[in-house]
Amino acid sequence: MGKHAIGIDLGTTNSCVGVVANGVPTVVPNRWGDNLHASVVHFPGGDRVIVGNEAKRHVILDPDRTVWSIKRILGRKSFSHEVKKAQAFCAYQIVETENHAIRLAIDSQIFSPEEISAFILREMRNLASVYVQEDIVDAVVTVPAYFNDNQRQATLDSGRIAGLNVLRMINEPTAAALAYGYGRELRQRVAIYDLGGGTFDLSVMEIDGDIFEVLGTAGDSYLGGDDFDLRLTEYLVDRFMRDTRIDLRPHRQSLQKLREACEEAKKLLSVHPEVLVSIPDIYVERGQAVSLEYMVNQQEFNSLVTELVQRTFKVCDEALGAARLHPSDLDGVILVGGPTRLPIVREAVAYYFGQAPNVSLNPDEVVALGAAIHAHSLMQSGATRSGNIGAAHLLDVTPLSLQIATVGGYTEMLIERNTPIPIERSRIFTTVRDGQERVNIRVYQGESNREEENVLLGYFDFEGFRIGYRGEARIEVTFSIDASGLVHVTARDLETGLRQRMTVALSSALSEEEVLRLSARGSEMELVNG
Amino acid sequence: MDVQKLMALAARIDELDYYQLLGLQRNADSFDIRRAYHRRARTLHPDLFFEHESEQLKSAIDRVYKRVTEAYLVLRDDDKRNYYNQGLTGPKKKLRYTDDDEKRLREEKVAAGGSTPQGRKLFQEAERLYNEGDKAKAIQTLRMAATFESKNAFFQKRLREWERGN
Repeated sequence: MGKHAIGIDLGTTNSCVGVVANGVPTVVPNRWGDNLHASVVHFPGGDRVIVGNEAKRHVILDPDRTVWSIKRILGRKSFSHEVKKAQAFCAYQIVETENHAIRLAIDSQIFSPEEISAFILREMRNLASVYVQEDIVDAVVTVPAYFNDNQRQATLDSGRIAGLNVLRMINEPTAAALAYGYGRELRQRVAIYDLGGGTFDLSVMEIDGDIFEVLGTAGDSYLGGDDFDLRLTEYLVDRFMRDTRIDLRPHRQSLQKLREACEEAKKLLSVHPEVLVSIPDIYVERGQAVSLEYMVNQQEFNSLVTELVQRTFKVCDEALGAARLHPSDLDGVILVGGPTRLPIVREAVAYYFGQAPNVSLNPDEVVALGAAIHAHSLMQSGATRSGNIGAAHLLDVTPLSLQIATVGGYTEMLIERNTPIPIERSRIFTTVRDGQERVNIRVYQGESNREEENVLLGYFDFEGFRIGYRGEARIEVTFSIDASGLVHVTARDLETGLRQRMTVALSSALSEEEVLRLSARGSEMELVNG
Repeated sequence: MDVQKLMALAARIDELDYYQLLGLQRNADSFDIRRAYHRRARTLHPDLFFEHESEQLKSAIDRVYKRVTEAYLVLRDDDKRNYYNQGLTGPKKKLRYTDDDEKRLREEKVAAGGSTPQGRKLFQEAERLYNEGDKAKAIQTLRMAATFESKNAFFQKRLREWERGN
């Protein structure tokens, strides 16, 4: 038996790690037996860090030093809507640095979102290393299918900072499909309905034995279980205000307590018709304590979140349209992500697809299992295959169109969304003025033909060609998207005949030195339990 | 597939058309095309060589497989495939569908939408009739559309295609 490789589901609210041990894919528990680990990082002071369910307790007790839902702002710029929302809700400072990047200020320390994610990944790595009694470095990390290149690059950098050799990043719904169909010789068309803590993806897939082909995918990276909690929180804040004339909004600690209670209530409402949300002494002023106590029933909750559930079906329409299929063409619907346990979600899914969804898989663990299977299969390639596990091929697509800026603020499509990957496409660029010394290329992802409505991935200047009349220099630029969904750009000067090649990293990627520096700093901090 | 065969395939990748690359007849249907793509993935997917020690082989496989994806992308889309077939059977025997082809096809499609409200409406009506099998009436309607947009080359081209096929 060779080296082990792990699969990590790095989630918005919870993370999970899987490994193929003795030929069997399994989810790795922590020492208290939990398979799911809160994606929360707490800094108790000194050089210590606490990650996971232990850290979660501190969200209320010590909100200034406890980071949650980092994935929502990972790979995003300071001006994005998600960052603004986080700034309103988080007790720690979120500050802007160069290139609109963001940093978190905790006590006197400054962290990038990548470093915070790296702590979670390091914890997952440690759990698995203890489990198989081997220092694990190789991993497959999952990302939402709808993640753009900046978010994927940030995830990759997080892995590097955590000291992982990231073999591949795969899309969460694709990983789930792999866990569902692996080794079962299925011939099916299925939809993977993946409602996570912070993101929603729908992938339509064809499973052809060992082939897992994505026919179409769409997503909403601003929609997840967190939003359900928030709706209930806001509803109770308003109710509390009406009843007591006390506004909880400026009181972050009270709000945090309520948010957590609402998350719990949401889960309980999956099985109970009504639950009590009770927070004693939620508000104290001049020695007078006020408690919050409300009964919430399923019907009330459903009416608060119906609009969110309906939004997922717009995404389903889009993905099915891209696959040129009808809901009735599908052999099955697979649910992924904790929020899919909610009866309102299950009922709406059954109605939309005209069939009851498959509930045989654990929606919290299936992504990590799929990632573990893929990690194992990559490690076995080129070597002789070990008994139980054969190859499975993931044929994925790019979720967003790749575009380049032209003139006047417009962009032009280069690689359309839902194009199978890996793929490349070349375009010849030339000078537009006599004596022009450089050609500037700006790369975007998105579906609009306006620059500002797309996400900027990076820009670069190509120079060093012979300067002449306009149109003389001919530069062939090749854009490629690899199997992890990462975008690469290479340029070649056709005019001079010099096969001068340059590889251009898009601006978000960290340099090797930066990764080493951050990784060393991270390793100096001690991951502790409780 | 063994290493020598793979390297040989990589060496002549620029001499193969998409049908040859996927092992397909020119008249293959969408089911055949998808199955062919899966067949190639089983033998040529770079993941199969992920841990292979030869970087040279890995980069060759990468090139070959990206071309497989490209072939699939073009052949599975009727419009792209038609455009590709024209280039392939034309005097230049174009083996690849390039970024320029994609641009031109897109321009044709935009033009196809029509530049006048009447032209657009009649064209859509003609398409609908054609798809429903009423070719004679479709041609008649498209001719009317063309009178509103005498310079729309796509209308003319589509009209010739339909008239030929009728």
